[in-house]
Amino acid sequence: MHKNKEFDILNNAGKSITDRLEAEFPPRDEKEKEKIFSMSERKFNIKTNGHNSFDEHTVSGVEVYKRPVWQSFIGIAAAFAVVAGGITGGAFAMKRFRNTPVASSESEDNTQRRIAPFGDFAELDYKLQKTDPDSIQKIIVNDEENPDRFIPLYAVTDISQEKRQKLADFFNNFDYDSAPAANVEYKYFGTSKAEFEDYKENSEIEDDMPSFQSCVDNEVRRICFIDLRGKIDEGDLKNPCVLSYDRFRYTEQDGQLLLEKGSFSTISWMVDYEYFKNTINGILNADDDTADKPLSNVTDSFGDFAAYDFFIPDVTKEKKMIVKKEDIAYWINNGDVIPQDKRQQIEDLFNCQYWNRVDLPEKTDVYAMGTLCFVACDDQEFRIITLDPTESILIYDHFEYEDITDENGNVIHQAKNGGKDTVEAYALEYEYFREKLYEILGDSCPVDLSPDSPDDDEEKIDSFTDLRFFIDREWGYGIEGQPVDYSQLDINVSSSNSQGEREDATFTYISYNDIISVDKKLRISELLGKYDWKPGEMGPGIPNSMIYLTSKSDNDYISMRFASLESTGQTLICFDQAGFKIWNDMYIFAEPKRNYSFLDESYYYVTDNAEVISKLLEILSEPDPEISASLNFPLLSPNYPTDCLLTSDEESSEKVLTEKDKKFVRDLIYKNSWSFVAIEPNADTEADISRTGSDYIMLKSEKKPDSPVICIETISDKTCIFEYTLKKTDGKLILTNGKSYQCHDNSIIEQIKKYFSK
Amino acid sequence: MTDEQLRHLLKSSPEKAHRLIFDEYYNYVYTIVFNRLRSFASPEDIDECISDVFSDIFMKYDPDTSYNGNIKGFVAVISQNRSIDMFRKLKALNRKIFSLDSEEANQIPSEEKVDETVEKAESSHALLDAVKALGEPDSTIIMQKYYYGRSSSEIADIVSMKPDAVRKRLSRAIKRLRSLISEI
Repeated sequence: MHKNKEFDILNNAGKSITDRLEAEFPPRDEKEKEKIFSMSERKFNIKTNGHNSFDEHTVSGVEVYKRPVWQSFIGIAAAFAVVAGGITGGAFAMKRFRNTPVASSESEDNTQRRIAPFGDFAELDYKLQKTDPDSIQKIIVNDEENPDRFIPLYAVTDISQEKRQKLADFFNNFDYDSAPAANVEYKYFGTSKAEFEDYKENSEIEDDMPSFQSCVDNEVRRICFIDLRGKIDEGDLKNPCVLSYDRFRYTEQDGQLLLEKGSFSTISWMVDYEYFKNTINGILNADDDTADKPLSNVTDSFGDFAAYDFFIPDVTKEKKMIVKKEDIAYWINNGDVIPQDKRQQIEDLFNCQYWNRVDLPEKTDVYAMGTLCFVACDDQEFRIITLDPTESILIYDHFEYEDITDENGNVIHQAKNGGKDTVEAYALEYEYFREKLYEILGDSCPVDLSPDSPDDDEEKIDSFTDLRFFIDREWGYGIEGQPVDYSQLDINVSSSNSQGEREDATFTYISYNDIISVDKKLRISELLGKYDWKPGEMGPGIPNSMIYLTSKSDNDYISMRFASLESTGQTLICFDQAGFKIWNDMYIFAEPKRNYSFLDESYYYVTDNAEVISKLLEILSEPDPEISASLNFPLLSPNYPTDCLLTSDEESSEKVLTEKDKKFVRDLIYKNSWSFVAIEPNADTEADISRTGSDYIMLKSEKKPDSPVICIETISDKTCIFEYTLKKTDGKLILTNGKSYQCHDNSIIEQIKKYFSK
Repeated sequence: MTDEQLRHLLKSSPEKAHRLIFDEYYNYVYTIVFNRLRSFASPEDIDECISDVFSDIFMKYDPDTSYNGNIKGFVAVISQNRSIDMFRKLKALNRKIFSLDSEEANQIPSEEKVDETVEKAESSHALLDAVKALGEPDSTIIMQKYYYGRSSSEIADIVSMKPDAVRKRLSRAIKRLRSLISEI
């Protein structure tokens, strides 16, 4: 993007400028306009259909060098396609692929295994059931009086203990959703013989979906799957299927098998047909001879992990390489190659599961959005494995590259075969892998894999209602419609553009100089603490805010805007936060050091009370007892032991004040309303004060350490009082500032001068 | 079309109303969002942000509401808020690639900062005046190039000229603009 610095002045402009730009220099791109319109309509449709969340991916380890142009549009199109299909599959898919073997919230007791709701598959002697009408072995009569109704028992074949264990692992770690009762009627249980014959003729079940049976001491447990694809129109699942778990006992009587009365129970859960079929068959069909290297359908792709020098890019290290594929390029950080033995362990981990291939979510930024990547790059071949917790997928890409040198002399690995067709995506149980990889890699992994543990040591401010964040900081305030004194805080942000050049932007924050006294701060926090503040959505109606509070420390900035939502009678606080470092007198964007977790949750908090603002205003506009107490300058007090001397910008000779003079100055000060101010005086020595060039009056006593100096100055149309103390440093007397006050009356100095000129 | 009429239309035919709102306020929203994000966001991010604004407007502009303010104010608020959201989002994404420790930090230019907003506004107006003084099509070419960051061929479409001609005019226009600005 071509830019000209001269035009940067227009950034962040006020209304008068944007109005002019709109009127005189409109964007004028019809193509773009149409594109944006259709985007807006799509987003609107998605939102009205209740789909509102597009997760942003953060990149770690691998950096996006250029955002692919297609990404944003395709992302929306893909999300829309899901909605248009009348399917609310998103939520389900998330759930499906997030089968956390040990959910981190439950991780306090890691020894507690998860078990499927129908029991541990490995514990019971389940056999593979041949659900084929021709292989019925036994008939269990359902009802003595009506022997026509029956339950068929099919022939079974054994499953090796090892496969049973794998199946158990799979079943145990799935999050089951109960099936609506209505779906259970599809079961072929309790059929009459005639119906059964008919069923035999027309059955379509044989789509090699296995089912299982355990029969111990006449007690039968059965796990079977009922394919509902195309049979139900409720849009929850792409491949709806009922997992049905039946349990019953039978007795033998006169050579007839009879169902024990009241022993039959059945429970069902909704699962994904394809997912279960593929996984179960993957386990069952794995070759037993290679049992040590079980089941893997990915040996040709990332399954031979140990064979390549994979490393995990480490953001704290230097850039290692630039890899380009089509118009996307990635900067990849250096990282230590994972030792061979650990690579072998990771390979085993990858290979002990059947990987279910999924479509690459189109909004996915091919391979750079996971928190954890493995990269291998040798012999002109590039491999990357990304574990994406957000989408719960593993993305694998592999391509050959050739080295090209760009105009800046950077060597770029340019993919020979581009496109997304080399990219493979697989469903991933991220939590499971995170935990396993943590076991293997431990803390040597540059990406933090350790489970989230509550940090007890670190003092965290979890909720906004814990108002320590308010009390601990110094706050300035501004009230709408009142003259206000502020300083501007420009934070510079630097980023790379598509050409890899650095681009700089400046964001301006306002910091109010009128400081809230400790006393008022306590009262305000008490007031805010009375209400129940809930994280809010940013609505359309953030009306004009009435009260602005800002707080600037040496590394961060927070602002709170208070607004009343008239339509709902609520009060809203909008937060803003920025972190910075000071470098060469410039503020440079940085991560805020103090993190307030409530701000991670929301920048907007609402409460159902409309009076907050008026009460706040009341507190803020009251005269401050703290100020009156503090304005008591000893130098001006009646019986101060040494003389009070006055100099000014007009009168350099020192004038000794009489008691009457002191009273005049005192009264003049007390007559006005003062507030604390955050303006730092521009003075280290007395000479500095006279050098400022503005109007000033200086009151001092003898030049002795610890003796007070009062300086009254006019600063940006206001009168300020700085109360200094003389300190002796390196043999020199310098001024240290105690307190600063300001007052909107700018005639005070004039009045004092006038008085003394008489 | 008045707000009142728009409200009725929103009830009877939302699609038409959306189109009307969009056509009416596209430039307005674009200007506000672009102004806030131009140094920082890619064109795609800006498009994204603008479409967010409009989908928000479509969502939240409730024909039944008793809110009787001007829709333009409402549009402005959403535009501003959405730009700030986008900024934050980008800020979060950019955190990882910003390093202060290297020499790169030295390259951050120390632009002359205008302390007062007023001064800045004055300079901005002066700049726009100078651009305006170039006359058409030069002022459009300059703004499209340097403010909106479009390529010469895109500008060529807008002003119905050949890209080569645009380039020539551009280099002359920027010289003239510089001399105009130095006179101020």
